[in-house]
Amino acid sequence: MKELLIENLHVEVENKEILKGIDLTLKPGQTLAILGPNGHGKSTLFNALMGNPKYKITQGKIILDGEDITNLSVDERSKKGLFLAMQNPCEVPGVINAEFLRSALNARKEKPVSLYQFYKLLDNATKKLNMPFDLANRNLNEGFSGGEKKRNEILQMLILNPDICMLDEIDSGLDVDAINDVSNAIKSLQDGNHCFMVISHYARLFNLINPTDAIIIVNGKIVLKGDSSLINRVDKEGYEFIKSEYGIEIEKSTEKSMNQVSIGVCATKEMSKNIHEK
Amino acid sequence: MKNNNTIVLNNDNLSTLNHISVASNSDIIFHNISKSEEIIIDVINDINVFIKGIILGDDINLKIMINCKNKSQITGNLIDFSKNNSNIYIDVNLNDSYSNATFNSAILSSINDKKTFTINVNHNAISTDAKVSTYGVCKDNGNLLILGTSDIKENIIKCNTSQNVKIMLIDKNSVGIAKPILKIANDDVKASHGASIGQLNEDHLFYLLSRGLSVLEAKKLIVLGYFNNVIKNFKDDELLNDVSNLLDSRL
Repeated sequence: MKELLIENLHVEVENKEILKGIDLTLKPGQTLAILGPNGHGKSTLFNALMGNPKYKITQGKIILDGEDITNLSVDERSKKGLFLAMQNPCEVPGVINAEFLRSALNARKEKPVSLYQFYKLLDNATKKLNMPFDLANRNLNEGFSGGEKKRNEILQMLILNPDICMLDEIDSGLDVDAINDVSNAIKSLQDGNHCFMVISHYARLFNLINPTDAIIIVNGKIVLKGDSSLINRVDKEGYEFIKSEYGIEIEKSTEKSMNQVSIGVCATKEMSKNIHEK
Repeated sequence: MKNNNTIVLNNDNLSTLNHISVASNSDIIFHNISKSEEIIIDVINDINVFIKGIILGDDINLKIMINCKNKSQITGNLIDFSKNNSNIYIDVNLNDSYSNATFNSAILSSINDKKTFTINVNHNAISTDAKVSTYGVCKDNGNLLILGTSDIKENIIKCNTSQNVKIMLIDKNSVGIAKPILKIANDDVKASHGASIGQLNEDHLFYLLSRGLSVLEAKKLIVLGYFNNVIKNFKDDELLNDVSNLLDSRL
């Protein structure tokens, strides 16, 4: 059972400050809903907590169970109990899902799990998520549908059993049945020993997993803290009340322009006899 | 189903088995070859021949010439873990119509290696097909040059040929050069070539690290995944274990 303390966290991405002083405490048993308009720092918070090198912490601390983990490597944070279910899980060609999961599980064990134990764990987790077992034998996320990728993130969460689960838009791309499966998996870990931080734009998932608390992040800061009633208000009214009631102007998120890329074909020639004869 | 004949080439028999004629379906296994040699493989019938294995050793010069006759089919899957200034040179000659070759190779260049890997396909008869895919990984100042020429002469029509090279650079000090070349002297062919060289995908690395894998384990998995295009065709547990152990020691 671990407590996470975030103190005055400032984070930059490509020299632009995104988070401008986040203070947050998360205790075991808590499920925190994180709300906010697009591009205001919700995913940045998760990436910074997980140690993604693209997100630079310029001020502040992350304390896990009394230990300062601000400068810890990504894998060490994971082994200490942090888990990030990503918004866009990447496809890693050639890496077999099950082999990767077994390596990840063994990385946090003193004694490696036996093949039998691992397959039992995997079998239980795939059944809980109504996932076909053969997804585990395919390349990691390669060719998976959006929904399969999200289920695969939750599968990893169930097997690795982390203390602090950060779920970044885990409901996007899921059909109704899949949302139920994912929420049931989350609920199975809402046992007082784990804590959750969940980003979503939709009340449906939150209604299923019953968050204990909710925050709204705007302009890189937590502008409002409250209970789950905040979720329903945002669902009904959007974020306009932030401005009208609290006088906070919501900055427009600036979409990054595409990198300039040139695509060309080099000396490819295909000609069949039929084409030639014409 | 009749089993393939198996010919195992190793350092002990390489000098005596350096010219092989194969007349029935066969597996030719390069078992941790680590010495310089010139090897000629003549495939003389309408048969399937699978060439697979691992090349090791320091500063080796290995030349392999494969001559395909009749409607023979060659499938090659080779991994080159040799070190220093090694030079591997493979020539595939498709000498009779309807012979074809598929050749996948994976090459690791690490710790100041300066390696060259060449694979040429000579279409010497009409209606011959070849598909060459070569995957390189460079790390720790490793230098790798991958060359390949598919040659189709005038009047050698109805051929399909492709030469593709991919190189992944694990760090910024490594160098990878790819030159897949087509030399085609007539219009009635299908041909393509391509090369891509890129750095290790940082998002992939972060993803694996975020699940608790160390940098070393994550890189090993990514490289194994990259080489999987070759390794998956081994279907031989002993060879697979050898590859995994060698990657442990080389990464």
